[in-house]
Amino acid sequence: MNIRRRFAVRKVVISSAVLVTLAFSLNPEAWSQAANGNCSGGSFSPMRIKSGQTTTYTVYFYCYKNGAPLSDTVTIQILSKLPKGVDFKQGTTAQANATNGSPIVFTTTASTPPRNVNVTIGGMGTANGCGSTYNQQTCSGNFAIKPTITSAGNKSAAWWFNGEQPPGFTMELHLTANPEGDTKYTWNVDGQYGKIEDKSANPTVFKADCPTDSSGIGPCPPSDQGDVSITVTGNGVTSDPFMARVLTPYAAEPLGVPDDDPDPGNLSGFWYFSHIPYQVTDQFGKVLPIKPPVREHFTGDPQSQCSVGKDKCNWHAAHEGGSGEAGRLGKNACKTTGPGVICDTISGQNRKQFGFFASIPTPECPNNNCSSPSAGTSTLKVLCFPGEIWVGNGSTGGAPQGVKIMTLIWQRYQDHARHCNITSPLDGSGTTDESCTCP
Amino acid sequence: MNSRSLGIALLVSGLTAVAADTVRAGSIPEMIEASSLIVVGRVDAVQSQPASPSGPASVVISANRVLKGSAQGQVVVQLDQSNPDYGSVRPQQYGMFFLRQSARGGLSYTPTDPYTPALIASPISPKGFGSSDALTGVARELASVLTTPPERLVGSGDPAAAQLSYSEAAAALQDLPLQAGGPALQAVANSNGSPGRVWAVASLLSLDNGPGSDIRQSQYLDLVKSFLLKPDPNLAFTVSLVANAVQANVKSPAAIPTLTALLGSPAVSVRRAAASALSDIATNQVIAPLANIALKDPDQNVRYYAVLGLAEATGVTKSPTMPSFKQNEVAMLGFWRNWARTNAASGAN
Repeated sequence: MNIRRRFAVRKVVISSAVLVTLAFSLNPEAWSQAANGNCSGGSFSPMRIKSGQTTTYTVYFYCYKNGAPLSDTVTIQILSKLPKGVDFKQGTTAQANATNGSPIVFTTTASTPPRNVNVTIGGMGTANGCGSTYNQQTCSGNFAIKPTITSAGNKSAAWWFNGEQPPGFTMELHLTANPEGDTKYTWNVDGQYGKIEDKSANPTVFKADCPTDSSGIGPCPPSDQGDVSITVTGNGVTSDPFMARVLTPYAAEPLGVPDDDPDPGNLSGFWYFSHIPYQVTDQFGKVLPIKPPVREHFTGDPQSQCSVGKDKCNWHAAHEGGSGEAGRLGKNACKTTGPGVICDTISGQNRKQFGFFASIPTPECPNNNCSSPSAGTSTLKVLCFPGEIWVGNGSTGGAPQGVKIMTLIWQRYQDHARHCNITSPLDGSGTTDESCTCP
Repeated sequence: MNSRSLGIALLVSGLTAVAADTVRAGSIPEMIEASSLIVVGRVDAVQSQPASPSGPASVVISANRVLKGSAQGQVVVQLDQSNPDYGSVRPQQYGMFFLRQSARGGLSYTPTDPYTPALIASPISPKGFGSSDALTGVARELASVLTTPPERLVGSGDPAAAQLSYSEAAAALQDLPLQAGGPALQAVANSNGSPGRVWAVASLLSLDNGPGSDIRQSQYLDLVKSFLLKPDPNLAFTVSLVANAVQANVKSPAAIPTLTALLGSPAVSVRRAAASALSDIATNQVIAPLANIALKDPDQNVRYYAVLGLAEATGVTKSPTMPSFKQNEVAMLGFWRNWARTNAASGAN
């Protein structure tokens, strides 16, 4: 069997009964230069295949004698050694349709390693016709068996949260070069936003690769980009590109309208909770698949905005809130949920202080309705403070981590609270909604 | 300074405040498991101690229905108020209370999860009550909220205010396994008269996305098609949340006809969701609606999704990001409009 493989294996018998037509349908130059005979072959189609696929080579044999074309029967032989895992099927043993040539199908299996395959095909006519040795009429061509890349779970996108790794988001792609086996592969990443640390491992891991940026904006990838081309090379053959997409949070879009809940209590209530929902999108405008960790970061001192009689309003600054690493939520948390949905809950001031420490002004339930949700209507601005919204890490305290997606001013009224002066996204393409100032 | 004296601005990413030492944050099933008593009823009284407002408060609940354990009449719950982030209750509040016996023993209870003493419940008893396990019972109670008229949920009877109650129930249902909440949600989704029907559909869109869900996703979308095509301006919150569910979850080619119709909605959030979903599907069938309708939309985001979807579906260009589209919109729109004319003329689409 090996000997047959080595030297050409099976034979394909072709009759060249219509050889003149055949010859002129081919390369006229080859025809004019031919002595006793020649072979003309096109190229493999396709020239690059995956392991397990087939490719076809179509050959044309012709010869002439004393300037006149001969009609003959030609036996085809594969003269080159085919690599392991590559086989061929004869195109036909019947009368060839000369104008279409004779197709020879080369097959591979799913485990055939990647490589370039060179094929030489010889044709042998009869002793009184085109000649009786195979190498009088030879054609050669080549095709490539290319490796392929698969990703675990068919995932093609990895997230970048400016160095943070929020749970539930795909932060890396587990890539495999196929076929697996003994082949030594080398990975290549074309693009500066991703990396494969172990370029010779199989499987291997792709991660977003960007410098962290403490400002939290424009981290990586640049908001106008995100696709990374990954290839793998084995035995000198390179795969088709696997396009990975590096995603990053980009903007927060208001989701519906804020709602106001009452939180009454003789001493311990906050009197109102205003819930302000957004949906977070990536740079392709797609909603994040799950809720990201989120926190707020105040960038300026709170400003009292009113007086009641002779007394200046004395509501206190809020402390920065966050979803926390464990996703633990706070009292009367926002009742909105959905993919990529974040929500800010802002309370009123509680009334448990009294006398010298009494809250000024006295906080109220939204629209003075302490029994059910209703929209706050107060126009009395009490306290404001500027800040930012970050996603990727919900822990509060210290400098914010992750990606900054919004700047805003928190505005607390007597019976509700709102965001204003909202800017998102932060790359300059966003617009500022509900302009306001915080003195 | 007592931290509770501070007004708090809690930034939170979701709905259900479910965390205690023994209950994983965000897990209503674990709350159910950890509770020895789950009752549905009304808060009759909340009694704080004026001398110690941050100490324990006694809450008296009239139990109407018992989903787990046994109780009759009134249940007394000791509410810990030492942590400002712990959940509170208010008089007359109707809810589903998750309780366990307090360290004192006897008939004294504490919330299983101090962050979430209760979930929303309807004063109307759900169908099939009493014939199920606790998990299914909780799911039925939550689904029952979606069938309760606004006037029974909120004092004002304001449909817009009631949306928050429906939202709360829908969000809690999304925390349950599909097999527990799915049947009740589907029943609500298929009943035309349910005021919270669209919330049931939004929940199903988020929950029912496993293998073989393509056709069902399309059917769910059909159930809210008329609502999204003629949205009530007073229910903008609901429209936005349903649009969010559509945008994030609908990926089935079977939904293309409905998504195409939704490109005609007057609500921009709906048109954005429809265009975004079509760009995710990115088959040849989305080319015509994106090129002929979405590309001409007055909203810039819808036009962006049209360009993105055309790029994804045809492979003619790279997929632009939103900011790059905003910087080069005129050129990109010009390219795709010309492409659409050429291909329409050649009959390609």
